[in-house]
Amino acid sequence: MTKLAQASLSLLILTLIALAAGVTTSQAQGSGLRSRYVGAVSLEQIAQGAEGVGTLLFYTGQRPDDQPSLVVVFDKPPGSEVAGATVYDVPPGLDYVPVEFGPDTVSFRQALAPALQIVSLDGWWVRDGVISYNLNIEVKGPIYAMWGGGYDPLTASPTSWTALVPHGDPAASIKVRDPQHEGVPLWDLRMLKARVSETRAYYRINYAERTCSSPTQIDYGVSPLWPYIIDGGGYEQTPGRLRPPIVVDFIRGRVTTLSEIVTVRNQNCSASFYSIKGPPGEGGLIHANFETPFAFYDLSGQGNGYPNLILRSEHYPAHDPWSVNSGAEGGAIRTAPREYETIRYSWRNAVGDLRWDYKIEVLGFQPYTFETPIAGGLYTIDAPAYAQFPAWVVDHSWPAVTFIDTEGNSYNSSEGIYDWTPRALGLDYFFGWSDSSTLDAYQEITPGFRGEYRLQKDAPPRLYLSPIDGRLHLKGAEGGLWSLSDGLVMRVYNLTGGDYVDGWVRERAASAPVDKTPADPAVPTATSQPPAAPLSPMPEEAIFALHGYLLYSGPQLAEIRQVRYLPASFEIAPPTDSASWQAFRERMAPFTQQRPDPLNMYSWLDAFSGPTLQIGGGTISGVRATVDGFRFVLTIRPGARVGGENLVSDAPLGPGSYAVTYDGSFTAQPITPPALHVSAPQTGALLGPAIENRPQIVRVNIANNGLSDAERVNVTAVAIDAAGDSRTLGSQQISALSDVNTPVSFSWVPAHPGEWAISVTATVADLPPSAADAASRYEQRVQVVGRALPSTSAALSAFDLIPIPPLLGLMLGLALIAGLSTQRLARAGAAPAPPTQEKPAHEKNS
Amino acid sequence: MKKTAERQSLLLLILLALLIAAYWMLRYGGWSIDGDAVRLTLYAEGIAHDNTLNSERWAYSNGYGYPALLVFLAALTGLSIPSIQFLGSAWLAVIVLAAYLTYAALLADGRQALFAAALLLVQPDFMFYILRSSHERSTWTLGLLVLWLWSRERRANRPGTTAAIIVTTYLLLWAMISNNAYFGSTIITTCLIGMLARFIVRQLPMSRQHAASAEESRNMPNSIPLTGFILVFLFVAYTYAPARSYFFTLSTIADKMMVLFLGSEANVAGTYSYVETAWVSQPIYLLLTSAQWAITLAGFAAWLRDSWVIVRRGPQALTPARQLLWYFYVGFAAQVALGVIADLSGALASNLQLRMFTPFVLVSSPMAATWLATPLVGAALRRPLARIGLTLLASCAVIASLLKMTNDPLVGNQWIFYSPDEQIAAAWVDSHLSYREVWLDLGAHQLEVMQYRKGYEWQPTNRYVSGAQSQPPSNVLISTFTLMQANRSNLVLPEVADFNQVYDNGESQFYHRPTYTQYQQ
Repeated sequence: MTKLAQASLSLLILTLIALAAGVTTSQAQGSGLRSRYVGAVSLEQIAQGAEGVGTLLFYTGQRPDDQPSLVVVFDKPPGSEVAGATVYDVPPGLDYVPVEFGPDTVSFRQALAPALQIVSLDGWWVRDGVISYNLNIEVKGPIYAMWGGGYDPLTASPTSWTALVPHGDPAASIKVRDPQHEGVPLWDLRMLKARVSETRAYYRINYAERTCSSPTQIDYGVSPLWPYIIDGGGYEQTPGRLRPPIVVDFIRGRVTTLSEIVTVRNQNCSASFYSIKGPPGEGGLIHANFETPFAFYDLSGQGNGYPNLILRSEHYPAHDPWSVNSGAEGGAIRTAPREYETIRYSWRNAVGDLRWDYKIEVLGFQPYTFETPIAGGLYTIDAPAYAQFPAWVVDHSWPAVTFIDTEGNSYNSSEGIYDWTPRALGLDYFFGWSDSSTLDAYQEITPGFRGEYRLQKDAPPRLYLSPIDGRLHLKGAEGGLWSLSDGLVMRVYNLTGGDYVDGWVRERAASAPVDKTPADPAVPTATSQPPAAPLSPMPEEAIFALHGYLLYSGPQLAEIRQVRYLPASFEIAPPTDSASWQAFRERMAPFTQQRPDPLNMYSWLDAFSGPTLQIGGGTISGVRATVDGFRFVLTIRPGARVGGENLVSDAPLGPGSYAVTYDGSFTAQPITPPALHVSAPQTGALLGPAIENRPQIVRVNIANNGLSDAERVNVTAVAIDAAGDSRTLGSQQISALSDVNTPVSFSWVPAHPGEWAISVTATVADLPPSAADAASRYEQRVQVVGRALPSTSAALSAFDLIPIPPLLGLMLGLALIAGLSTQRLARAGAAPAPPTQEKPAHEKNS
Repeated sequence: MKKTAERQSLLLLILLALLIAAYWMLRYGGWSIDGDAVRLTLYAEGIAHDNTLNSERWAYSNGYGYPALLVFLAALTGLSIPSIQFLGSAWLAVIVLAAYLTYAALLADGRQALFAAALLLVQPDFMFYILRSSHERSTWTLGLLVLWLWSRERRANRPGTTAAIIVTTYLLLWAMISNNAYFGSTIITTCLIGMLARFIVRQLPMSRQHAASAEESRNMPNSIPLTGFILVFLFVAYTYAPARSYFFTLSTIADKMMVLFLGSEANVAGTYSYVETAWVSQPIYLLLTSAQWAITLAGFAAWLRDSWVIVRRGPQALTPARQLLWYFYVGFAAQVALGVIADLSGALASNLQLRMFTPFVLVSSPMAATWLATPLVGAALRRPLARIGLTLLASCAVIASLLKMTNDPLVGNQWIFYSPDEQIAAAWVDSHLSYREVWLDLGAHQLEVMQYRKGYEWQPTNRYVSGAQSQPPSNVLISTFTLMQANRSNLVLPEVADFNQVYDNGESQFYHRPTYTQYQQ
């Protein structure tokens, strides 16, 4: 009993001492995590801005008191207007922070490098439940503190640049501000301080600014009196919740992440950017590159944590090392010759919910010449201002634009719609390094999505509603693709090269032909020679709207209808603000409910009436625009039923294939096979004099005098020397359209002088060679002259840089002096060897 | 050989060196420059412009010593840095003098020393690096002086003299490291390998029978490797930031080791395949360099002879100075051999070209000169006909050397000269185009000349390219020199047959490709 009383008394005394010393122990939320505070001033007082020193320690499991997992040291000197907190995590080689306790102090048993140094400019941490977010934070060590860094929770190890930062070394510098003391920060600016290679494309500046309010719940983490710490989590904030930024793995005692404080993506509106380039230049002006700006808007005004307009830019100044491939080690070999940007502009026709209805994406060369203040005026940036940015994009002309309509099939994305960036065409093409580009990237699209591209015209991005298919289109689009169900795709064509699409062809995706811009620079681009609709495989259904006629071709019939229609029901720009977004919604509302069925294209004709030629069992193919009209091939099978008005011919149309042309009136001629003719310009196939080992261009024209278009023509050029040795200059596959001259060129470097024969052969790929060979060969004999070598006198005088006589004189003089020197040395060498100044060591020793 | 005669011969050698330097300067009327010389000039201009050794845009990653020396001389003389670079070729005479001093100490025989110094002047691959206005002229002068002091230290009897020599040696070593930390490290590596060789030699039976004299014991500076590498470390890690950056840009340990121990330097040209395209023919190349290879072989033969003596009779059979030369030879030769193996095996990730031949020449020449002391050679030289033959050979070797070191267009395809008209055309292109890609030359020469002439402050907005390109360039400048060089090397120039010729000054034509897309300019 006495012992029990003594023990109870001792416990009471110890408790009193501890309380007197300001020691408090609490079980933090979460299993197995507890904290202990030591200090002369209580944590409540420290949190509210009292002067003094205190230490907050966190423990996991049954760790002894001198082995915490994390330690926060508070310090607010007397008279100071700011409060400081230094966070220490477990140093390398230990699994705890080595501390020892004084009466009301905590000290470290060894010198430790802090993980975080935080200064509250308010001088307090929490007051009346409001958290101070006027903070300057220095992050040290391998802590994921900026976008582009990383932490892998599976391996519990840092990744990317974070892994390169030694414990205690500077990693990032962060400024966060909440000027109105709302407890929800306004902006968050981060700059990379890690000593990483300049050649690596790490983001060196992150910025995020809250530009409207979002419903937000505050999470006070593991320590409500100092609510900056959370047990586990990632870098991004989640919508509707503001988590403490210091993410700790308490088991390992490591600060793993200093998360976003102002979130970029997960709130209604934010103005942000990620720049590889940093730090700010003179006068605090930031010439940011990469994702600048990255802007999020809630045009509905009713957002619940998600934006409904996102503008994600990628901008690079001319010659920026990251302009061609921002992920490349050591920067790109070639850099952008011009300042350029791509801007992804995705919007939702409803309140934001991570899903999207439309996107335009522009690529162009607009300079950033702004001085937009950021971070409360601490810095300026050369990018457009947040409020004006959507209008800036929509009002400017862009040479390359793509458009996506998700047709109600959007995936979830916090960055908008990724499909069909204009960049996919290849930067080499946009920078002028390449004459041609491939449209391969636009041969596929997310199932259900509809996409269009405009790559040949510099104009602002505008949309219009087509009365033919009742859908939004990109004005000036050169083509497009719609991924339908069941492996079907709808290809959209602009055969006339005007502002409006005029061809729709539904076909099986597997049979989709690859449409390429011409490989030969001499071949005109699509605007002057539009691509023909595919002949093979046979499309299921097609409609063309050309010069007041609708041409329909389906499995059962072909129809030509003369109609009156407007190319666009209305034109509209992408929404840039709440008013235009509302107007856009209202304008589109009638058309989003009932849309023409892509699987029954014949029904599209119902909206149009006029004189009609209907051919049951007929097909229309090879539709293309001509200089003043259009042409197509009409095939009438035996037994076909021809009804209605014969719009195309005065004579009755019997079974067979006809080349039908329209140039104000129709002409129908029975089809004839392709007839190729290769010829050279009047001056010959060679562009200049043929010289040995000098590049030469061989240029010929391929004409097709038949009435059938030849889709695939193989053109091969060969050079044969006098000895009969032949060298193939190259082979190309081209399309030879009926009645169109197609220039083809080859490069030739004559290997030696003498007479050569240049032979160019064109063959229709689908016909037997014997059928076309006779008229498809061109041959020309040329004399190749030898390359000129410098003469001896030219070489001696270095092409007249120095007169020869003095040079030879100098050379001779040198030879004489060298001879004289040698003579003297040889004589000396011939003399008996003088006694050495030094003896071999063993002689000395003896 | 009497002292007076020795002095006269030395003066004659210095005169020969000065004439060779004059030939180098005048061969192309002053219109020639080498790429490394351009860069060193720009590094020096950077120091002068930015008032810091670590200038913003042009800082030599391997050391500041030579550029700083240029700036100092420019300030002292009032001459421009390019002028000092140009006139600095006369430094060849100083190298000859330093070589004579060193060889006299190592060979303990004035006439052999003179002969060895003379041999340097018929080795074009040595002279080119000294004459072309790069840091190597001062680096290897310092290297020779370090060797000279080491051989002097061995014989110094008074503590004061020894201390002075040691201090001076380390000062020179530091100067050499600051000239080029990675070349500086090679001389330290030489010492390390030499010490290893000495350790092995001392294990030989004949060595054990004789206790080494105090002088012999000092015949390799034992403290140099450790202290030397500490100096290199201090320089790279703490003194000169660009050297540290360069070191850390090397991606593999192998690269780092090679740079540190073999003094390699990044170079885009393949070392061995280069010969095939750079000269009109391989036999011509061999003929031009035959004297150099003969000296190398003679040096190697002499080393084998001395090695045989060491094996049979122990190192004490050679004078301590000759032992020192033998160890140095082992040190440099081992680095050359390792470098060649590394180059050929492709062990180096960044195609580092072996640059050890120049310092190797500094020890192979005196080694070859030791044959002069042999009775057989002495007897041969007593015959007048042999002396006349040798004289003629030397004259021919000097002329061959001149042709080789200047990359003379009579025999070489890699021309180092340029024409003023070419540069006028290039300047026109530079001022009339911006943010374009312009093809300028078969190699980097034209661009280097532009950089040299325009100086440190020039920041081209265009991207200048040369040689074969994966994509055809849209802007092409072709000069008569480029055309002739292409014809000579049988290289294909860019295709300009359908280009518009927009400039022609008689010497150079500029072509612009027609545009085929809206994105081309």
